[in-house]
Amino acid sequence: MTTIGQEAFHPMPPDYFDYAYEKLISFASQITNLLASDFPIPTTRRALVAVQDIFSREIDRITSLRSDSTEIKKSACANANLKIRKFLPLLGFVLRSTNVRNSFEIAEPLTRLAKQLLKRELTFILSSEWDFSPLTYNFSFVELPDVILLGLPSFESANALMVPLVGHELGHWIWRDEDMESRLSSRLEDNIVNAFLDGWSAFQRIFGRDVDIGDIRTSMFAREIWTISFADSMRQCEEVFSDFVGLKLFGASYLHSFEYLTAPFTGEPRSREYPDMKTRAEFLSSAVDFFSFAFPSGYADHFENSTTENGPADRFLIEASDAATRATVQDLLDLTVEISAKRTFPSLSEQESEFCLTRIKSGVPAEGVEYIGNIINAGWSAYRDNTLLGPSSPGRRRIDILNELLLKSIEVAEFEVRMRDADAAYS
Amino acid sequence: MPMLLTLEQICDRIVATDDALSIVPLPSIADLRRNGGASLDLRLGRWFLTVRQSSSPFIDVDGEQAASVGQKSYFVPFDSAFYLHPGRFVLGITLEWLRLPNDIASYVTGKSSWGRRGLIIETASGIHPGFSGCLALELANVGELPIALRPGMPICQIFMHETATSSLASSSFDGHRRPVLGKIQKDSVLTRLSASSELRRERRS
Repeated sequence: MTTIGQEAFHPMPPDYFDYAYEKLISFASQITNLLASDFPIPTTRRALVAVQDIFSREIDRITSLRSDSTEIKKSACANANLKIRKFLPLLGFVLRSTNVRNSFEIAEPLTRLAKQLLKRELTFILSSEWDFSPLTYNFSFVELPDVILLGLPSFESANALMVPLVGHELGHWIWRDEDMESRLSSRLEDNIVNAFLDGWSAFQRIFGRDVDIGDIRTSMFAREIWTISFADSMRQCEEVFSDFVGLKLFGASYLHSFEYLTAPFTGEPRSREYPDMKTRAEFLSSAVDFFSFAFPSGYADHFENSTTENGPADRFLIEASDAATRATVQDLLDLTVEISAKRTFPSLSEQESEFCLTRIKSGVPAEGVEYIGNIINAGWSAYRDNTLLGPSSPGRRRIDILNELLLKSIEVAEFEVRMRDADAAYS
Repeated sequence: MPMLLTLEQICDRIVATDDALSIVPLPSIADLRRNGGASLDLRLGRWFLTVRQSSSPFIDVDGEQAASVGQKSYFVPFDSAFYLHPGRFVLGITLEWLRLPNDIASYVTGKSSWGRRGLIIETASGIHPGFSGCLALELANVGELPIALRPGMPICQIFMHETATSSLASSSFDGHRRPVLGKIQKDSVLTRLSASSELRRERRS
């Protein structure tokens, strides 16, 4: 362990090696400062301590290389820069996790849900993002494999009605745990190749190479191009699968929260790695039928596709990956059902949801509710019924009134779980 | 004749099918009936609110300044504590959400076991018929040692009275789960007193 002020004196002026060392020390100081914060959720501190350990080791490593060769030092310094760049957003994320704008009542129920689905001990950090889209950093931190970082958009991070969006983010984790890319790879390759074959003459014209149609899988040139669409479509499939997981976990409330945040579309240019908004809504509508949820028709009509002005090559690639994704939707639905049974997704209960709604109507939180999803479904039913909760006033909106009742219901459920756990442990 | 309800009568009202008196989470009715007496203990919730030290020289009911007092919220997990030091003040909240029917008024008081150790629980203790929400607690430590305030601990007790006639004083949808400072309402008498002073000054000049 190295502390500030202990470094050996050396007569040369400082260079990139010293700079890297200084930056690591500064970064470590930031972590120390952050550890002095009030952490509403104690597990957040544990995750930060793990990051502190990573940087202590990094400082030790750099220190031990002082008299090493230039090449080794350069490589170590580049690596230090990379580590700082990578973990800096995490510090911001952790700092925002201490902000009381977040509804901390949801943290424990969601941690429990994540543990149930992912079948292992996890640290769940609930925070908020200065970003429009909910975000999970799950793939970025291989050093913290069991830390789930979930950020809701800061302006909605207090809103319990947004909880179902967490289901989508958990879907990304399940995707990784189930190694879905391997499971889907061969089917998706077939679907991409079929999409290319359907547009073969356009492909030849746009990409200006005469490839025999029979060589689509073996021609280096063709392969290089369709693998781009393959990778894009795989990412699209991950998004669609995560939507299906969100829907399976939260039912109608997932559809409402998704629409609330994104409809008619987010205003961003079309990304090749995401299906277009209206298309996602169509896939969700087919999932509603497949999972036998009750939901009014016409959901996809509330969405629009983004407008894109791509060149012909980009357009061709997007159309191919879109077509392949569409052809894979049924596989994704089947896999969602299989995985939800295997991982024992909690069951939504119409009866429990109705009970919560009755309580909300009389202005009282619900007690005795087993699953947070039922509370949120009742919340959406109440919010969408304009006759409930009284009119909004300048000081207080209907959604604020509802939020108090929902979060208190969630807290009461948490209290009851703790009582049951303690009774079971001591009986 | 309005009367103070015994705990037995409070339990009867809670389990009555009209569902008008609600306490969530509900304490064990069997335990309550066994306890007897006339008050019901409530527990401490997880949210706290303090007023920030600031450059404002004072809080004054006259003007906008009262509304813009800086404040800081804290969320304390169930297995942790908020430490209230001697001479300090914090707003807490009950864990229980209480809804009173139209014919019951209530008041909240401290528990003597805490009072004797210097923890003052409440100064604005009246609860009107029709109230719905968690009760804000004005917690002050006037004792000699810091006090650990642990969410879930019994913190206060409420007494309930039946009112002579039904009276609904507040909306059922005003309730909060976190402590809030609330507004200091403009008072018409105070406004008129200020206006009359202004008039006198004008006349003199």
